[in-house]
Order: sequence, then structure tokens, then C-alpha cells
Amino acid sequence: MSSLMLVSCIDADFARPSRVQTDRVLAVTVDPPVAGTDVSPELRALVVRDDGSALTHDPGQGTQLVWTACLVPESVPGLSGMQYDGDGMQQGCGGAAGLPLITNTDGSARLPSGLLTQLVTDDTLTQVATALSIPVNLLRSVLQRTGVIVTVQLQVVRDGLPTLLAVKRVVLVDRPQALVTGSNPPAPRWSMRLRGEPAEDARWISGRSGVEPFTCEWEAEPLRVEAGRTYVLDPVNVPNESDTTPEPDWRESYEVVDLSGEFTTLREQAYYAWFATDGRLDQEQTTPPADEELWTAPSTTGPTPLWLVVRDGHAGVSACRIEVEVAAR
Amino acid sequence: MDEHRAKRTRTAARYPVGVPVHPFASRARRLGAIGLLLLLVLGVTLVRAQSQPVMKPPELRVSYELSLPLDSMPVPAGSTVTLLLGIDAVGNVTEVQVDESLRPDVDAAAEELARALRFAPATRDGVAMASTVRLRLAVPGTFNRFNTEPPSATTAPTLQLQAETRSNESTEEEAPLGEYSARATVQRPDPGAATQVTLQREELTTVPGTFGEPLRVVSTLPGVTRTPFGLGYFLVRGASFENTGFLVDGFPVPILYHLGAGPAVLSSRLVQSLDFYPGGYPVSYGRFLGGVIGLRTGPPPSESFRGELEVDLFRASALAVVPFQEGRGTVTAAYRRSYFDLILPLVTDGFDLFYQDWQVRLDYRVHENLDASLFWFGSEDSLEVSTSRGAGVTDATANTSLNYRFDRLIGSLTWRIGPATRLKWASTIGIDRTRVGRVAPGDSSQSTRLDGTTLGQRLELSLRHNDTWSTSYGVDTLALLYEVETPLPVPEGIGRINPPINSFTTQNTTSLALTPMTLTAAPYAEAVLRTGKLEATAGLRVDVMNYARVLVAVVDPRTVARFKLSDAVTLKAATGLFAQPALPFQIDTTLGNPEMRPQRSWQSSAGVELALPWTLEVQSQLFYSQMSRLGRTTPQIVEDRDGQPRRQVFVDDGQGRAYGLELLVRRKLERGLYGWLSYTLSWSERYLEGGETLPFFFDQRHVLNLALSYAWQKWRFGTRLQLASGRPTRPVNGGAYDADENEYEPIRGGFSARLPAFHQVDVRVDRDFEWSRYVRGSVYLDVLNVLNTQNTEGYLYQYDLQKRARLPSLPILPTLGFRLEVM
Repeated sequence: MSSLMLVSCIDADFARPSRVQTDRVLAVTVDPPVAGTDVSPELRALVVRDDGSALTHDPGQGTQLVWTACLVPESVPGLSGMQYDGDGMQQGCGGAAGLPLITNTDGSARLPSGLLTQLVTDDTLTQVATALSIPVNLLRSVLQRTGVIVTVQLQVVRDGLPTLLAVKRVVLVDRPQALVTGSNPPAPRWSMRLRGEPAEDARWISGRSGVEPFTCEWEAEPLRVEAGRTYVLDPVNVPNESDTTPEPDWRESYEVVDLSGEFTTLREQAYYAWFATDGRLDQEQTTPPADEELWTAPSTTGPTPLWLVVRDGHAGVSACRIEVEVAAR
Repeated sequence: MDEHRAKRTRTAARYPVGVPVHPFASRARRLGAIGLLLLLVLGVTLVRAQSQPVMKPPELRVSYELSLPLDSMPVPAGSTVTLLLGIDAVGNVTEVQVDESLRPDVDAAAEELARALRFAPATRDGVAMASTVRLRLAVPGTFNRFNTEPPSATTAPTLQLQAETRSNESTEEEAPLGEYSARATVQRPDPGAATQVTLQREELTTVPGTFGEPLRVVSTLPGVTRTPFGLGYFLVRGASFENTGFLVDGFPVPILYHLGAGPAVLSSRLVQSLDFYPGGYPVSYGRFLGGVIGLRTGPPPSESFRGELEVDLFRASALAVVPFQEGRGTVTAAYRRSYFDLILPLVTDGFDLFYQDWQVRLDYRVHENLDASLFWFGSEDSLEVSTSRGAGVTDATANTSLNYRFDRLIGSLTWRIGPATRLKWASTIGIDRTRVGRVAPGDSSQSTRLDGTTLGQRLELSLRHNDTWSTSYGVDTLALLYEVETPLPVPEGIGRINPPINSFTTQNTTSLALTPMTLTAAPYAEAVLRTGKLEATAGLRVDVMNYARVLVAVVDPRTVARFKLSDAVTLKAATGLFAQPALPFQIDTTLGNPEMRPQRSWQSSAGVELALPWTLEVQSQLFYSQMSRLGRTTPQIVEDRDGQPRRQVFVDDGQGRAYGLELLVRRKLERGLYGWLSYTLSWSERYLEGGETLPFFFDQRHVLNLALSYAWQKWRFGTRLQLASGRPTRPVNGGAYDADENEYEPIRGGFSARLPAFHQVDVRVDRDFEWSRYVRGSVYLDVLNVLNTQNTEGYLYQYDLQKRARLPSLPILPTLGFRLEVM
């Protein structure tokens, strides 16, 4: 009862995470997200302005994307307990010196190939094991089977001031890439239809993988949505009983060390997060295997953007943006 | 009738007469304070003396300590016996008449006491004369323990007469009828306890803001840090909440309160007294790093059938007391049930709460030297929450349910082998059952089962060798066995990244079946030396602890010294070691570290106790506690026994310290008035060896509580004031977007800020009524935060941590209820 009274007293006018109203980092991709010793993973970021337009790396206009490989071990978040509040996850590089990466003109960057091999030599084995909190004699087998997780930090600098900070993990495995499993989900493909209408009336949208990063387009005639009406957004990347056009399953399996110390196999899942500058999205994040989302179109007419970010739970990410025309009812 | 008279005579014959005490100390101190006033009225007095004889009531010169026989039945707290005494012109008591009776054996003891009193005679114009006085003996709550404590001239709770200045104006030839009252001497802690506060029943149930819950009164005592929202856990002397033990008749129980800031899981009517040891508790207790809160239970005092019904806005309870064999035995049963499940659907959807508790107790005097009791109590809480989908819409297909139930059975035997020897045995068996279920659309249904069994034995032999030496020896054993079956998400570990939603999908969970067990056995011994002014206690407790991969014997020596500087001033000092097993969730071989050693603390304190005028008593002490082997989380990965890597999760290298000052100014219940002011100045810190020192999460520099309650005719009015420093916080300087988990992690600064100070006023009004000789009761209004002060308990943040809102404390919260007694 006290809790109920308490909740009713909280006067918090908070914005919803799915609504883009300020400059935001919506997604960061690493390709490949699970990297062998002989590849140089590419880093890209989907950064948007408060009006929904893309925020790009343009030093001439005072906007820079600054990438850093942190090379600090993950801690155990959420278990800091009552006695010590000082524990917890480090943000970004957590103050530790990172490895600066060179930002390309399109805002992307690359981790150096063989980073793990460079880090873990016979001379640095103990040092790395200490940094990663792994016993030296176990480091080799862990590196080859599950890999270790390294954090990459992205800073968005505008007019010389850091404005946004984001972190992304990449799994580094001490094996050639040919022997490594782990890739990003394919570019999103999804349908949109008015709620209550049959699936046959849905319009399809798909990403332009490899052509224009983070861009989706209508497969046929765009759907002109009516202001204030609610639409069903339905991805089809993963086979699902409710999907009329199932596609090949892209989810992969991977090894981890579980709590009991055993190597165990997990399977990736599909997590969908939608963003919009206007209107209302029903959920902030889907829970697998559910994947549908409801979007209530804004009451104002005109073009409005929608973003979809797909995560696989094992560092893999894909994302795209589509523009939707809102018409009067 | 003859049998009753014979019993009364026997009782009176056993009544010991102790050492004379001087009743004028407090009066003398008062004289100075009213000296100025006397000067002012002197002129008026002289004028009046010209026309009226100067009447002076008799003054009490010699009184004696009073105690009841060992085999007497408990005496209800707050009970009174009033006697009319005839005093001759020399000052001797020549006649004793019971004016208001309490109970035959108590009446007899009071009569015996009254006949031994000596007075300075009343005077008329300076000439001695015969007079009559009224003597009122008020029984404090500690009197209830008379039948379980060994007789001791210095430690047994006593009544001490105190002369009063009150007198009735009279124009008769007789001296005015003086009124005297009695009060308990300053409650002395049990031997071996550095600091102990004992609260009696009325103090436990009428403090405003506590809704009549005895355990919540603890939060107003010195050494106790304020906890948010009045939650039912206690942070004592800078220790974490899990380091303070909650014991019922010497055995630990798992929870204190029902869900939803509900009442205690035990009827307050069955609580005889509450002993609060903020630290430095006796060797008969163990397994807690900080303090101990001990409830002593017993049947509500009643000589005939008695029923009670209590109803308020949230719950109803009933209690019945059935004495049998002329009071030789008593059966008590109580039951309480909430009706949130009827109310909540009217105000919200998707939220269902229910709790109930029950107690059945049998007390029986097998022999005049042997008491037996059997006490069964239990509690059940149930909570069901449907997943909210926003805008007040709930999804009935998604819900989380929690059901928790526990039962305890405690049996005890107290055998008074002789006038100075007592053997006490107690045993408990407890069963805990927890069920957590979760169903979500698109997710596999999950359920967690936790079944626990508690077995405990206590055996204690107390010997009073003479007036100087007494010893006690005992064994305290406890076994905790838990079986847990639960699916858990595979944690972020080697190769594992937290997904955006920690979904309980079967592919990402590990099914665990755990059976952690903790066995402890602790023999202990304690010796008490009492000389004229010194009481010194030395004790030793050896806790043999066996849990997970730990088997260790922990030796805890403790000592307390009390020195009575004068009748009004007692100095005290204590030091000792304390140990507590690592927490169950830390020692599991899979989820924790099975090699976590017991936590340790070294507690020391020194202080003073003062007896002041107006029946005020003051306790003040400095305390210092050094804590070591505290558990903390760690990202460390270690090689397990099978050579595989695993998260260590917990490590026991944490250290801490707490120190400060405590002050308690208290007036015990007398003439309807009681109250106390408590203040704590403290520091509590945590650190690793050689590392940065951080304030403890609930560190509060200043905590002040004022509780006052006054009974006037059939009304009782009470108020409570709380003032406390805010706890430390780490300011959030924005957030970093975690692109894998799709959420923002706070970027925090150091502990450079605190929440705003907290202040709150509570009030309570009770009105007693009596419909007939057999039916009586009371109506009460208890208003929490009557000024509706907007305190801050923390902050809520927008998703990107760019905006925050205040997390308010409880708003004004009135509760109206009534209690009905049928006798």
C-alpha cells in the first residue's frame, strides 16, 4: 500500500527512450562482432540529431566521431551489494588509457588486426591475465574458445566539446577468422500494416546492406500512414509462426563459460528496438521470440523517420532508417 | 479462600527485603532548581502563616527494594497497587490497607514492603503528628521477567520508592494525604551486555508512527540509522542490515515484517519485552556482526478468559487467552489477516497482496520450580503483479508471483533447581517455503522453489554462587539447510554479453539445484563479579562454523565492566569480538565463493549512565567497531578445483569501521508519561586494505528522535519527531550509452553529496473505552508524517540520465483502528 501511494506521488515527466528528441547514438556496429586474429573489425555508428537527420563525422563543421579501444576487462555489473557501492561497471574506458583509433572520413574506424595477438605475448601474458582477471594458465584456452570481450568507446565531439558517449563490445578470439563463428544479423526486413488489417495488405521495407549503411527502403509502393492511426511493425528476420514469409534463421550458437565453470553453448536471439521522432511506440524493446511492435503515427502530417535496431545478444547489431509519409485521415 | 490466604502468606514470607536505599537524592537535586521559586513565594507563605497552621506531610526516609518470588506469575506492565498507610507521630507505619488491588500475591508483597518503610512524621506548625499517605506502586514491564530470572540483589529488576513533592492542600487537623509513587530503578543491562535498552509493552505499542508495532520502535533508539520508507530492517552502529540479528526467544527468524510495509509477523500482544543491544551483546548470543534485537515472548497477562479484536484500515486480528487450572497454565491463540486483496482491486489493476500470521502458545507451570512452554508461530505473504503495459493497461497473461511462508515451533523448559541455580533449555524447528513464479508472453514460464529447514538448540545453566560471583554456561547450536531449484540467466561472464533484455528464455538459463547448509555450534561461558560498586563480566564464546568449504572455530572473548561512581552515576566500558558466517547467497559453490570466511568485528564502547531528577535516565556512550572479512563482489575469474575457469563472484577481503557517539535521555512510563530523546553521531566507512575509504551506503552523520506520550484520563496523546542527515550519494554526471544493452549507464562522481536531511513528525491518539465490566477497548488514530513533509529518499532518472525526479518519502499516512477486549 505504501508503495502504491509512493508511486502515485512521483511527479516525473520523463521522455520515453524510443522517442528521439535530442542528439542520440542509436546503434554501434562492429563487423565482424566476433573477430579472429587476422581481421580488422570495422566500427560504425548510427548517430542522429534531434530533428531525425543523420549526425555525421565532419571535422570541418566541428563534428567529430572519436573512437578508442579501451582494453579493460568487463566487471560484474549489478552485483555491487550493499557494503560496497564503489563497485560496478566502468563507463567508457573508465579513466584507463585506451588505444586511439583513426576515424575515417565516413565516420567509421577499424580495430587493428591481430590486436589480441599483439596484446597477449609470452612477455605480457601475466599482465593481460591480470587485466582480464583470468588465471594465466587458463588465459590461452579461454582466448581460443570463448574469446575475451573488449570495449570500444565512441565520443561525439561538437565544437570541441564531447557531447555523447557510447560503448560497444567486441569479442576477440585467438583463432583465424575462418574458424570463428559470429556475425551481425542481416540487414533488417520488416513489414508495416494498419492494425486490424490482414497481413496480406502489409508493405515491406528492407535494409540496403552493403550499399548505404543504416538505410532501409520500401520494397514497393510506400505506405502512406494516416495521422493518429496505429500500425503493426513486424520484422521477419527470424522464423516465426506468425510470419507469413519466414526467412532463413540467422541466429548462431556460441560458447561461454557459465557460472559453474563449464563451457556451455548459447544461442543468439533477436532483440528489436524501434525509435521515432514523433508518434508513440508501444514498447521500448521486444522480448524474444516476440517481435511485433505497435506504432501510433503522429497527429501532424508530413515525413517522419523510423529506425529499427536489431541485436543478437552476442555483440551483433544491424540497423536502418526509413522515412514514412504521414497523411491526414 | 483458605488456600488463597495460605498462598498469600507463603508469598509474603518469601519476599526478600534488600538493601536500604536513599530516596532523597533526586529530591535534593530538585531543591536547588526550585530555590529561586521558593524565594519568590516566601513572602506569600509568611503572610499565610499568620493565619493558617503550617502543615507538612510525612517524608519517606527509608525504603527497600522490592522483588517478587521466583515462582510468581508475570505481572502486567503498567499495573498499579495503591495502599493507604497509617503513620504514627514517630514515623512508623502502623497500618496498611490495600486501596486498589492488583493481585493477591502482589498485594501481599506490597503490604510487606510498606510495613518496612520509615518516614519522617508529618508536622503541624513543627509538631509531629500522625498522618495517612497513599502509596502507589507502578509496575514496569521488566517486572514480567521476575519469574524467569534468578534472584539477585543487584541485577533483578526492582521497584524503588521515591518521595514525591506533591501534596494535597488540606485544612483538616490531620496532615495532608501525601501521594507517593514508585518507579523502577534504572534498568541495568544483562550481565555481559555493554548497552541494552529494554522497552515495556506500553512503550512498544503506543509510539506514534509505528502503528503499534514493537519492532518499529527500535528505529527510534540511539545507534539505529534511519532506513528509507520505514522499511523493516535496521542498520545499527554502521553495520549493514544483514549484520543485525532478529531473535525470538533466542532463535533467529527470517523476516520481521509482512510485505508492503506491513506489521510485524508476530502479534505485539505476545511480546513481553524487547531487548535491543546495539552492540557488545552477551556471549549467549552470536552469529551477528553488529547488534541484536531480541523479543521475549509470553502470554498476555490474564487471570480469566480474554478475547481481543483489532481492526484497522488494512487488516484485522483476533486474540484469545484461556487460563486453566486456576492460572497454572495458559493457552493463547492469535491470528491476523490483511484485506489488501479486497481493497487493491478498487484502486489498481494487476496488483494483489495478501498476508496472514498465526500464533498458538501453551504455557504451563509443571511444578512450582518448572515452567514449560510451547510456541508455534508462522506467517505467509503473497504478492502477485501483472505486467504493466503502460497507461494503466495490464497484461493479464504476464505476471510474477511470490509466496513466502514460514513456521517456527519453539519449546522451552525453565527449571529453577534451587534459589540460585537455573537450567533453561529451548529448542526450535522451523520450515521456510518460498515460491516465485513468472509467466510472460513468448517466454517460458519459470518457477523458483526454495525450501529451508532450521534446527536450533539452546541449553544454559545459570549459577549464583554468592552475592559476589555468578556464572553461566551454555551451548547454542543452529543448523540451516536450504534446497533451491531455480533457473537463472547465465551471467555476464567469459564470452557472455548481457542482452538488451535479460529474458528467461530456456536457452540462456542454467537450472540450478542447490543445497547450501550452515552448521554452527557454540559453547559459551560467562562469569560475573559483583562488588559494592563494580560489576565485571568476562565471557568466552567459541563458534564452530561449518558451511560450504569452510570449517572453522571462531573464538570470541568479550568483557564488560560497570562501575557505580554514585547512586546517580555509573561508568561502563566493554570490548569484544564477534563473528558471523558468510551470507548464504555468497557461499554457494556455483553462484558464489564457497571459501568465504566468517565476517569479524571488534566492538568497543565506553560511556556513562546517569539517574536524573524527574525519573529521567541518561545513557551515553562512545563506540568503535572494526569490521573485517566483509564480502564484496569481484569480477575475478579463478581456476576451480576441476581446472575450469569460473567467476569468483564474491571475495571476503572487505574491511570497514564505524564509530560515533550515542545519547539516550529517557523517562520511563510513570503517571502516564513516557518519552525519550535519542541522538546518534556516527561515521561508517568501507575500504580495502590500502585502498580508498568510502562512506557506507547508509552512513548518516546525525540521527535524532524524540518520542513523547502522555495519558490523560482515558486518552493517550503521543508524538514523534525524526531528524536525520541524508545518506551519501554519488552524483550522476550524465550517462554513457551501452550499445549492446540498449540502455544508459550512469557516469558517477565520487561520494561528494548527500541526500537532503530528513525530518518528519508523527502523532497518535488513543482513546480507551469500557462498555461493561467484560468489554473494553480503545480506538486509535496514528498519523504518519502529519505535516506531509516532502522528504527525498533518492532520485529517479530519465533513460539517458539527463533529467532526474525526486523519489519522495512516504506522504501523510493516517491509520484509524480499534481494539476490542472481551474479558
